[in-house]
Amino acid sequence: MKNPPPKLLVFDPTRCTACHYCEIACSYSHFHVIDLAKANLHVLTDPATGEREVAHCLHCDNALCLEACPTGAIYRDEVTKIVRINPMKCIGCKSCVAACPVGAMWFHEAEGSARKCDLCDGDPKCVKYCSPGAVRAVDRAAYLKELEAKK
Amino acid sequence: MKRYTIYLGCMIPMRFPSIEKSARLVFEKLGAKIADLEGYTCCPDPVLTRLAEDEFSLALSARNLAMAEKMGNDLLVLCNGCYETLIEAEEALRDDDLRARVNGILANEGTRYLGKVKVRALIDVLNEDFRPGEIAAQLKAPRPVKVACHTGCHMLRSKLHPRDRVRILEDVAVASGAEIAAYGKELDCCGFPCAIADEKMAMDILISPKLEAIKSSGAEAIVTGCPTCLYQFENSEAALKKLGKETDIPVMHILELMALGFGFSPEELGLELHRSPVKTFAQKKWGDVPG
Repeated sequence: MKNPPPKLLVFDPTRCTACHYCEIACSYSHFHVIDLAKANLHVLTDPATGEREVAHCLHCDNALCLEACPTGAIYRDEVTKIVRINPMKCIGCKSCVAACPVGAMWFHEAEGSARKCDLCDGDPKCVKYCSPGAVRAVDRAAYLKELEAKK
Repeated sequence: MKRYTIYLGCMIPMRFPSIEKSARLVFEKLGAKIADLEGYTCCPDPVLTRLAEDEFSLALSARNLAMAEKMGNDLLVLCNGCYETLIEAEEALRDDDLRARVNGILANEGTRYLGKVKVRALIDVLNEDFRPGEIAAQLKAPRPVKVACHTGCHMLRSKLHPRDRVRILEDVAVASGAEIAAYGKELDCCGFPCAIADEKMAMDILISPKLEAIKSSGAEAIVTGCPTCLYQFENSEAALKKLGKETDIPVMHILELMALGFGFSPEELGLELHRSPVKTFAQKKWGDVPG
């Protein structure tokens, strides 16, 4: 079967209701628990203004987490463009956690390994369970081109 | 005559029978025939059950859809969560291969889903089939009630942008005689899912700010179309009261608002089963209406 085109998560704050189902779906599908701390993305609400943002992995072209990793535990799947972690190679130095500019990397203390979004191998559960359509998975190439055109 | 098969879900018959009673009375007044879906099961839950067991979850939905299909009417779904589950199952099961696989599971009990049922949400049925004329024609006791509307997240799975989708409940409330109090947080979640994971966070970032905004808007009551959101608001108010923060705004279902406007008395609707002061409020506003 042909591989689907590489995807990217995008967030529309005007649609977000802060139900946190994206985080619930993420933590459940990865760890079989409902625990917002174990989600690979986070809905953040500014208590003063009520403004929302989502912190999630952008699978950057020049991924700082990947560059910061001293053991090669973080790598890019060249077909799907997904930036992944091999937890068996992770030594727990947390360099990636410090390096990520959007706070998408986190450290799973019990497992002793850094963790991040893997786009659920191309079928992101955060997208599937977002009723208002605030989190979408878009075609990476087309979306980046669209952004270029806006510059 | 308009005919519907009604899907009540779990929360309405078990926790809010006043909504079920209002539904039966309101649709009868509107001249629609409601048929019960005998032997239905849980929809099931639109997120947690599906996360745990996707295909089992789909089979359960398909069984409900298959029973509705045999009855021939549109399936009128009264609960937001049930609506999202069933509409997504209906859409997924348009795929012939998937439907054949799920029908393989249903074959164990001799049921088969053909993919021919129309799933409709309560607010869409009220808006598209009865608003404004048929609703207005039944208004025996319109009262100038200022309400804050809360649509609920699962109802936002729609082609419309959420900010347009939430207008539908408001339009139905207006058609039912209410006045809308705009409070700026119409899209915010009731906090039910977040509270499963983190109760304090749900209270701090969602429930308290939302209730504060509603209070400041001058609303006399909250009106929602979702029984789970209603449950969450009422329980949160009770919790806030224990913390010394007075919040006792009545939380009503849109069908209860309509039933009161249609002239049914607070007593016959069973409004005392609410945790928020819905009955006291209704008696104050509609108490003079002869039942």
